Amino acid sequence: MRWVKTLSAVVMGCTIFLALTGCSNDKTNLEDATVPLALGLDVIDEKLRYYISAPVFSRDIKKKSREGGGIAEGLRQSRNQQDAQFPGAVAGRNYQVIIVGKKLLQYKDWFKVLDVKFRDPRNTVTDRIIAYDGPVTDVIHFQAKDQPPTSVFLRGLIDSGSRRSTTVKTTEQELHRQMHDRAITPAISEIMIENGKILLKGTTLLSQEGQYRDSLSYQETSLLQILKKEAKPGVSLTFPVEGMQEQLPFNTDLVSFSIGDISVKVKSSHDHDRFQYHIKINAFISITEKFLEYELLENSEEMASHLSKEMKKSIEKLIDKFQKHKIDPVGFGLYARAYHYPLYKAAQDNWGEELARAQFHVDVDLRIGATGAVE
Amino acid sequence: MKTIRQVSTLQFTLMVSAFQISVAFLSLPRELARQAGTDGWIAIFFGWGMATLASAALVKVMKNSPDGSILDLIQRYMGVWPSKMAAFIFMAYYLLLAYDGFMIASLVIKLWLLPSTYIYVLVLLLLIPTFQIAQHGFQVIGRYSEIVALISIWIPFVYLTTLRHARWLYLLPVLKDGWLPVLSTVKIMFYPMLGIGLAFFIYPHLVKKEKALTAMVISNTLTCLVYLGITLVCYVYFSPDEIGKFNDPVISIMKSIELQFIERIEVPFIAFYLFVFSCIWIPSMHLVSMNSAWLLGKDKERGHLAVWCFAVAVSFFIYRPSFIDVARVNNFLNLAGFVMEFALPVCVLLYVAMTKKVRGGRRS
Amino acid sequence: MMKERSANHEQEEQITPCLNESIGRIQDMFTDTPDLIVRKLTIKQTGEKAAIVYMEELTDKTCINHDILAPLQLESGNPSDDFITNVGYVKPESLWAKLRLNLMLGNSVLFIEGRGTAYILDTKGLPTRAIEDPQQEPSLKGAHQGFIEIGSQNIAMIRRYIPDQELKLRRYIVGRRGQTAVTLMYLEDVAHPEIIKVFEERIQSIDVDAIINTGELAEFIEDQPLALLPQILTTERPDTAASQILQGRCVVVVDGSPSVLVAPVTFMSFFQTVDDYSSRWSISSFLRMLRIFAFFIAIFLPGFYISVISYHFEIIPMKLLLTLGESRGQVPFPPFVEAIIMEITLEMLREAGVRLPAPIGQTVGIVGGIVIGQAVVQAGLISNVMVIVVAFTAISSFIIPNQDMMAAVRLMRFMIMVLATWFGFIGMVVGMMTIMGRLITLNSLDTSYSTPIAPFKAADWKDTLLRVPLWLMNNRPLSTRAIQAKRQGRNRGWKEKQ
Repeated sequence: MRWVKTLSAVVMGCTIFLALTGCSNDKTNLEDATVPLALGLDVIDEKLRYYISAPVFSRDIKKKSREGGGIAEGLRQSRNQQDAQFPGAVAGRNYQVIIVGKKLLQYKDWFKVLDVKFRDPRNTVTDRIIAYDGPVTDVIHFQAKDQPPTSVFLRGLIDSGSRRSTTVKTTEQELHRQMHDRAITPAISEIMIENGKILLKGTTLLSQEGQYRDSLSYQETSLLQILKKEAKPGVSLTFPVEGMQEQLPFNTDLVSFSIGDISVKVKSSHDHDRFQYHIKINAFISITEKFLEYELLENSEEMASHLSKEMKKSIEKLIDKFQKHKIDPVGFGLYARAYHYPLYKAAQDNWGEELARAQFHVDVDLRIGATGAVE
Repeated sequence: MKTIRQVSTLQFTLMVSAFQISVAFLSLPRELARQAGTDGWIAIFFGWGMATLASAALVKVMKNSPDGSILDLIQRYMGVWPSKMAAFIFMAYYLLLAYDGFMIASLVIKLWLLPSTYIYVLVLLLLIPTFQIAQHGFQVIGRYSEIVALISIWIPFVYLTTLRHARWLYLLPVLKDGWLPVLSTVKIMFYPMLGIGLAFFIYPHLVKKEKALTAMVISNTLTCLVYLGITLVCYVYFSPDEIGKFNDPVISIMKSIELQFIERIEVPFIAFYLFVFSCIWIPSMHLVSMNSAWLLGKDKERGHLAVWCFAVAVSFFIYRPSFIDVARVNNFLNLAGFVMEFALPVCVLLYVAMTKKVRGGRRS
Repeated sequence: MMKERSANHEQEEQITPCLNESIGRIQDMFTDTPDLIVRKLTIKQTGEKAAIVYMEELTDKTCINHDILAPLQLESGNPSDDFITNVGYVKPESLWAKLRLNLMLGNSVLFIEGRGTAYILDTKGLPTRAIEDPQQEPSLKGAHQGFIEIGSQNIAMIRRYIPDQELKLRRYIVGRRGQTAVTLMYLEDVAHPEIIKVFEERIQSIDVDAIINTGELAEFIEDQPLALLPQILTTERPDTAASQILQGRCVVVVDGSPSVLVAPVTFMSFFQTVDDYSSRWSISSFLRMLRIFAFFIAIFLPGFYISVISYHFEIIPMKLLLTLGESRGQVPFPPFVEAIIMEITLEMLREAGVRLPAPIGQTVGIVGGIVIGQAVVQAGLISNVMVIVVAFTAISSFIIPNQDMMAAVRLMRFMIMVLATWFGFIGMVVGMMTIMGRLITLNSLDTSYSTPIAPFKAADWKDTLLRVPLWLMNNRPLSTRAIQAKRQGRNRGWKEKQ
């Protein structure tokens, strides 16, 4: 019987060996693959256009990246087209940014184009989504001698901007969350090209289906982040102080401050058949820039109350903007869902309209903690 | 020392816990969310309760047979043929569990890491350490579970870093749709708690048999804590409207963790999670070979194990399972597991108690 | 049958009282042995004729001249003594087989006319070398003594550390032709009797021509000699051997070899050095953890590199991706071939460096390291990241204090590289599982190899990753199954008096 044992052992060994050796189908070496870092989506002449930009792995070639693009009906479907333009297998695993043209944002449910990025688990979902007002091909083919490759540059721009709350940082996963959650509407970063340079412009607000609604400037974005409770300490705001404006090249009634500790409390209630929101903001601020002649040490409370009033006005203006467009980028719906679920459930399909009817009471209380090295 | 190998209490606890967590970890938040929305986490407590009751019954049954497994017990009380039948049923049950484990693990690998590799090749690869470890019995499997537990300590911390993006408001209000969805979800909690049945076979090897119940309660608690943690983490990360859309929220959540020195941490995570996966199929294959050796009356477990491993590999070659098969097998195992690990101890306990009374009555 | 009987007969043969017959017999037995000296003399005391026979180079000639020849020939002492000699060890013996053996070992044999027994006198004077720092296990703060090739001297060095009467020795003779003296040393009231029994059983069942080195003995008594990982520790340091005995283990001294065996050992024993206990606990703990870390790096780093480049390059951070892609872009080989070329080159350099004398060895190292590494990258054959990976791996494997473990690591690395190139991370994980499986199924003399990691013994963790301050290590490690566990009381008693 020993030969049975040896025979079976040999047979099993051979099967294992044969099975294991014939199987490196998944191997793609890094230098053989093309890893696009930026994806651009746009609509030209009613057709979906995509652009990809991939770095070139070669020391001898001066241009750091190669671009490609085409017309497609779907991203995965356009894979063959993509492969036709680049040597090596195109792998969608390392995207850094996705740039979306404004024209695309006119269409409802454009987000479904990105379905393949979620369905194929090997794709990234931490790429930043950026809106651009204009033809996306400008951004993709943008080459500047004094900048790193565009995709890396854009990612760095968004990351540093969001740290100072001049823009939001919406990754694809975050956008998915915002799109599908009916209690909040999406907001993505926005860039522009001016004088041959790419600049951060602010934030773009979208409706629940992804259509363009409005844009926000840097300061409005900061306020948005504050309301969302995502502002990091160090946010800088500038407000004019009433009654002291003079006509000079630079307005001397502006006071800038940066926010240290901030606490934002949002209380929701339902009264008179509409939602009521009480927003209370307490913050420690430090004055960072002041042009006026003003005795801060004695009159700091007055200055603080001025600034609080100005901030309250700005926030209310911002919320008005939201209500006008029937959007909710802050996510007030989350509070409604958490604390007033039956009422929210009745309105959850048209939350934007419900929010437009809601009433907001904003209360800002700033305290000046420091004035810097000079008075 | 060689006849009955000793298993320490810690090894027993970790073996049972790892067995329970390994496969259900990935699918539990999704199942709970699909059935009960954001209140699904409450069902876990009920699952814990049921598992504890079943464990108590189990330990009480095994107290009647301190030196033999459940098969010896059945043989003593009911005869040789019922014990052979029981061996056959256990063999089939653990074979299905092992198959389930291999299936899920290789499908997950195929989906997330190596899409073009043939599934039977992956299974063959995974069978190599299985054969090496499972042939040595529960002592070595216990040691293996200890090491796996040791090296998996970092996993909860990684999940805690996702709490940075958390929105705790998603959990409120609790019981938004009432108790009904929660209670109807409890019926799917059997599958994640499967593993207490290991006590049927490990009990004779335990060093401190009086601590068996405590150990099982601890392992059930540990398992449920892990489940609770991962479910809550998933719930506060994904909004209630989108959580049902993800097939593996546990892994998808890792995709958004950004670290300085490594991106896409879910890739090494899945590769690493194979260790935890293996904690279901290694004991199962060992039990399959043990039961089939019992059936044939011989003692050559190692040969049986080799044959079964080969059979599993061949079965993956013949039939390539898909995710739909996974759902079907899971549902079946939910039911089968309920019968084998929850209902069976109670039945055997009653039978043994009655037999004892009858015999005791006859004697007096 | 006939041959056997005559062999037995030979074993039982006894000497005859006739001196000339004995001398004639000796010269018949030792043909072609010009170093056999036969010195005839007359004992002054009794006037008997005698002859002393010895092997020229194996004996201490001064001892023979002063302590045997001189007193025999010149002095007359107490008539009740057998004969006068100053040698310490004297044994009467009449079997030719034993006499022959003792002659070959370096003892002298004294034949006296008219007596039916000869006398074996201990005059061993084998060539020795001075005690010097052990080459393979240098230490910074420990003693600079290493074992030498004389078994009795080695035993003496160990005894110096443990002048305890419980330190027992058991002597076995191993090897038919070699007749090597193998000594088992242990503390009787500490070491577990089962371990000693197992040791004895295994040593006594060895049937071999000769044992030249301790390594051969290790291979004969190991549980699984085919495994890659060593299950018996060899050391050249007396202080290490002594501390292992004190922990409850057994030490085997092999005559003629400067290494001793220690068993039973666990996986962690291969990462402990003597310096750990003489340095401060914080640095010792740090170095311990570094060694474990180095163990993993040395095995898995090349495989990790291969699987990341070939299968999973999405985990590389952005900036590294660009530089890595660029450096890989020039290389014509796939990562596995690249890695194999560099690893084999490094192994060849290492092996070459071992055999060369010191000055050339250093130059070769520098040439290999700098020139080849640099040139190979410049020529575009290997990417510079690969060179870094290989260098780092090599350094990590050098950190491991034990040579056998280092060798095991070197081999496991290649297995992991092959698995990584076939299956990426999954291959590496399966490799890790297999290594773990090996660790937990190995036994060192029937004790579990992977203790205290698994089975988890919390008390033993005091000396695993961390080296807990000495005054906390009150008991001997559980892995040795010592029957007397407590090894210290309060050894900072002065603190409490304050």
